[in-house]
Amino acid sequence: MVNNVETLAAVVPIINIGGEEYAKIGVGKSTGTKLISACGNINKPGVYEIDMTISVEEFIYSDEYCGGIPNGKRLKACIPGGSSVPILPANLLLTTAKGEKRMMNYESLNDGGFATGTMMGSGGFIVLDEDQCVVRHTLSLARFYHHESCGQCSPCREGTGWMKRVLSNIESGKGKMSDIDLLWDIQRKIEGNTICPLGDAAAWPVAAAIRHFRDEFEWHVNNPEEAQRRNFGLAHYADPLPVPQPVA
Amino acid sequence: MAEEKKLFKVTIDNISVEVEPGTTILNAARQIGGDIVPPAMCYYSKLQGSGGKCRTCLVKVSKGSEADPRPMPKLVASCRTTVMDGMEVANITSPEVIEARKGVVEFLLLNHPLDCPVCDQAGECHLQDLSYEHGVSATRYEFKRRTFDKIDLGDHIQLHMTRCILCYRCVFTADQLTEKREHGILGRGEHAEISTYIKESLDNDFIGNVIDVCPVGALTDKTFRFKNRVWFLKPVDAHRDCENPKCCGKTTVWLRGNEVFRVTARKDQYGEVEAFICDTCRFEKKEATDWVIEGPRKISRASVISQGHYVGTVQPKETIEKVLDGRKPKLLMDIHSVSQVNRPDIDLSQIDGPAHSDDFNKKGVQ
Repeated sequence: MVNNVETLAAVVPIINIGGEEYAKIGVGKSTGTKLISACGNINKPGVYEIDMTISVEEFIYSDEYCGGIPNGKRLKACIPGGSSVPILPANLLLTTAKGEKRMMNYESLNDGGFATGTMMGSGGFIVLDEDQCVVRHTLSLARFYHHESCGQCSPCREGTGWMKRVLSNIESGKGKMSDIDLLWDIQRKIEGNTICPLGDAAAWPVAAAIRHFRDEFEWHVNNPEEAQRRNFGLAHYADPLPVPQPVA
Repeated sequence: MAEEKKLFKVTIDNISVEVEPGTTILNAARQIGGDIVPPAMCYYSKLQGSGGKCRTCLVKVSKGSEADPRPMPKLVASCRTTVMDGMEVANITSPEVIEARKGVVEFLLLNHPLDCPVCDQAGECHLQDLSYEHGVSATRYEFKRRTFDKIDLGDHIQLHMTRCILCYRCVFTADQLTEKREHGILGRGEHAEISTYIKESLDNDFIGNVIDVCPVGALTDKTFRFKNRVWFLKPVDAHRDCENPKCCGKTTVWLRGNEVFRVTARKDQYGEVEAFICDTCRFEKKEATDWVIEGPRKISRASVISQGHYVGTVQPKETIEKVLDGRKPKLLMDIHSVSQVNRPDIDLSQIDGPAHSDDFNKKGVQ
């Protein structure tokens, strides 16, 4: 059995305070604590241990955790659970589709399924501010999964490289409008058809980027030269909420 | 059948079969036979540990078992999933499976050169059959395909990695049949390739079997390369007393006239060999006098080799008149309307003997 550091780190407090006491931390089924490795456009990147009762908004903006987004920029998107989980635009990240406040726990992040939700995953929290390009970001994820593929089973071996090349075409201004539908079709044929979950992990970020940021992909295709000079900006999926004032 | 041995009942595409515990879904489907057998590119029943890689045999398990009727959340590889009692499987009845298989065929063909016109495997290629049966006609891949240089593996075998689909069958064959395993997969991901360690030659007694297990034209017989197309040859069962104790000496000899073009192991309807043969039989016995001919070999796979043999086909009972409901068959195109030579005002039946060009020009008529 393979254990990661997070599991081993949780063993000591469980032994010290007992399993039942430990399970009282947190909320609902998300008991205990969770290590969140926060990075991207935030003031205080680092590994935070949270008790899964705080909201996503609080986690990003409070000084206790990430400390907000530097240079007064606004939040564009976020990958809350490691590179393989679906990316969410700011409006869906901070509130769920039902209009509730999204909390940093397994159930709340998963609310809405893949259509309007995402996953807690491994807790690799990546924040993208308004200067980031989702197409370029998706390309780097696709490149990573192409590099990581072991090459045993055919959908992952051939599909990850294909997605990377199509994305790289779109990013470098050589894309066609049909490439977006092609990407969607490729990810659909990889997901669930591979031996290990790396195929799913390669497919989900591409799927979510197209699902939520299709207009940005289309803008890249329609304005190939402009897309080389500037990024798409925020559009309608911008952070709709005012930045809360830090609690004194 | 022993009483204590309980058989598992499994339903594949609404056809039930009872199989022994531990049978895979693919083998249960092969016991039923027919169209519901999932295609397999990497699984090889004679090789331990093969399968699970190509993903063409994906099926949908709509009911896990009698005890736990939940369906399996994903499509599963039928070659590696064992049956449970009461399992219900959908293969060709599930559009999801057909769609996924189409995707897998597209992925397999993505980096395949499609050089069938110059490939020795053409006609008996599993990938060819698979893409005819399950693939789409055009590719959507617009990038440069992966290519490799050809490698000579010893005197008799040539490796053309460009055609390889990385099924790992030859690796298992070399590992399980020969005494010293000398080849395997180098690299990872898209860069994975079959190779020998530092490109040594392969000269084990049984290494020639990698040619038979290769589903595509990546490993080809150098003594047969470019000599003939397989569908021009006549496969016959033959045997000889082989000196090698591990070799059964029972082979298929591919003849044209009295000339032996190549020798392979006998393959069953799924393209798997019945018994492996040694390299002496395969590469060195190329005289008709070396072999005792038993009789014609039936190539039962739906391959171009079977063209003109029509084994097991059933003549339709309906006649043309019956299908047309008593009407006379009507020609789709009136020859007089398109031909410059035949003219509608000439009744051909009035001409004596064979027609001459004079009969058709106006002068002749007048």
